[in-house]
Amino acid sequence: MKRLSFYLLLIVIWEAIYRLSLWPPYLFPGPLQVGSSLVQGLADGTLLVAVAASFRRLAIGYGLALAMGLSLGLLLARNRTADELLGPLVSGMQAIPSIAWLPLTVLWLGLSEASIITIVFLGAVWSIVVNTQAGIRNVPPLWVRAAMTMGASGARLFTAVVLPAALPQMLSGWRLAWAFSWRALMAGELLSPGKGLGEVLIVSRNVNDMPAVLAVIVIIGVFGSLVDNLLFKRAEEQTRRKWGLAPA
Amino acid sequence: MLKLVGITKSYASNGRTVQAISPIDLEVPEGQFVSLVGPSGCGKSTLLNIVAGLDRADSGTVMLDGKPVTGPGVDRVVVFQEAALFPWLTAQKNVEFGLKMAGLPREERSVRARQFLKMVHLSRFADSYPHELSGGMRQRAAIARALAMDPRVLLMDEPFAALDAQTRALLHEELTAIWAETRKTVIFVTHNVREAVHLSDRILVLSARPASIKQEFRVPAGRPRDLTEPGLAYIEKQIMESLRVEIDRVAQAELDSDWVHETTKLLPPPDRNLGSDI
Ligand SMILES: Nc1ncnc2c1ncn2[C@@H]1O[C@H](COP(=O)(O)OP(=O)(O)OP(=O)(O)O)[C@@H](O)[C@H]1O
Ligand SMILES: [Mg+2]
Repeated sequence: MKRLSFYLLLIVIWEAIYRLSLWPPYLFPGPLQVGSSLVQGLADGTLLVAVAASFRRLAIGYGLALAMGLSLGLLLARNRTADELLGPLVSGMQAIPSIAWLPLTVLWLGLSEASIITIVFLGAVWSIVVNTQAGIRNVPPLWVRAAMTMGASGARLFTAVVLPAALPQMLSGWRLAWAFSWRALMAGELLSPGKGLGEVLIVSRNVNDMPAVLAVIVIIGVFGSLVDNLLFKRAEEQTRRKWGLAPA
Repeated sequence: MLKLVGITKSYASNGRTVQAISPIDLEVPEGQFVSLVGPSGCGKSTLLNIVAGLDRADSGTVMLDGKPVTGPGVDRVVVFQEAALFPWLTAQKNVEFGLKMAGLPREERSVRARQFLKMVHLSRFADSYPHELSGGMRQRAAIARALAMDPRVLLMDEPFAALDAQTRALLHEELTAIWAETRKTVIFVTHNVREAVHLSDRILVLSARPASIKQEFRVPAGRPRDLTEPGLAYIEKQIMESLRVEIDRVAQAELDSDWVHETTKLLPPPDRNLGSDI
């Protein structure tokens, strides 16, 4: 309730500033215009198509990153040589904003779907690798030893003890990876033609439709935080609560 | 029968080798409750882990019923100082863990786990997660989990050290009752001489590192025991004296090292943790 009135107040202030006409409406639209643009975009389907297109790229890129990140993280956690050789490379890669790869991917794959998916993938994969590895490395030896005396070994030890023990940290990595890949997706879409949210944003800007630009930004923010809150944050918190860990 | 022959172990740390165990020979007949007491850092946990098969001895063998121990196995289950319960499983599922690994069908597992939770008076908390249990309850669940495996030997590494005196006294009673019922062979590591006298048939005093068996005491009394009884009090006193010499040796070794000033301040009184506090 408190929160709701606060945001209503913000919108009222926005409207008030708009009414003051400090800037021309095509540079600074009011909330009503943005709202109607949003409603219209949703009604005629352009925004929904854009969300679907963006989400598809995200799902593919993130899915691939998950598969690859888990395998590589596992390898690095298990194999010392692999860690010594690849570890520094992975942390170096993690420091590169994945959009920096766009010139390369465009050269190799063209301004295509594949190129954007690659950027999304590169945005997500490294933090999944790092957190998978760290999660497995940080499993308390006590639990492993206890499990071993109860007859667990090999693959069963891994699935019954190591994975659940590493899960909280792995989930943090997945959440971080989501944030990175979502940003990477938007950056990639801004720079390439297509039907995604970022692309609708650029098209709207090119025709000077500021309400539409802001409407897309609203969608980006709402969609991004909805997935983060409803999916990742919730999963992470529930896991931590059940595992008896302090909230992250 | 559990038999240790010529067990030795040393660790390499910072380029130096630290001998943790000098040859130890030991025979524990079926159903005996043996306690190991010794100064901190002398090698008790190391010895227990070797018997568990979690660590490897440098030389010597551990034999259970004439068969050499080559690794961890369900015939020798460990109860650790901190209950090593899995936080993502309820008490019930924790107790079921080993049974599941052994391939018991679901129904059987669940019945058996409930039976052992009942034995440690945790029936009402079967569906609680470890972080919802008190320290004493966790330790009881860990004991139930170990007993449910029906091991030949129960290895306990200071299982009650982290508990308050009342809880500990309660668990002593429970453990005594459980032991009387199941007659497991138990190897019990403790710092607490009184606890050892309370629970054991036989008490081994280990020397300062490298651990060797310095002296052996038998506690011929039946159970449950009354520690105020003169016979038991006398045994306790003798063990304390034997142990005191070893603890003083550790303290002396620390004093002889270079950083005399710091250590003198930090050294606890030598009789701390000897059981006078329960
Ligand atoms: N993994 C290891 N690496 C190197 N040294 C070790 C290792 N584990 C134990 N030690 C050394 O071996 C010695 C015996 O250790 P251990 O844990 O068996 O002692 P303890 O008798 O159980 O002591 P406490 O009563 O304090 O638990 C110690 O001096 C310790 O420093
Ligand atoms: Mg120890």
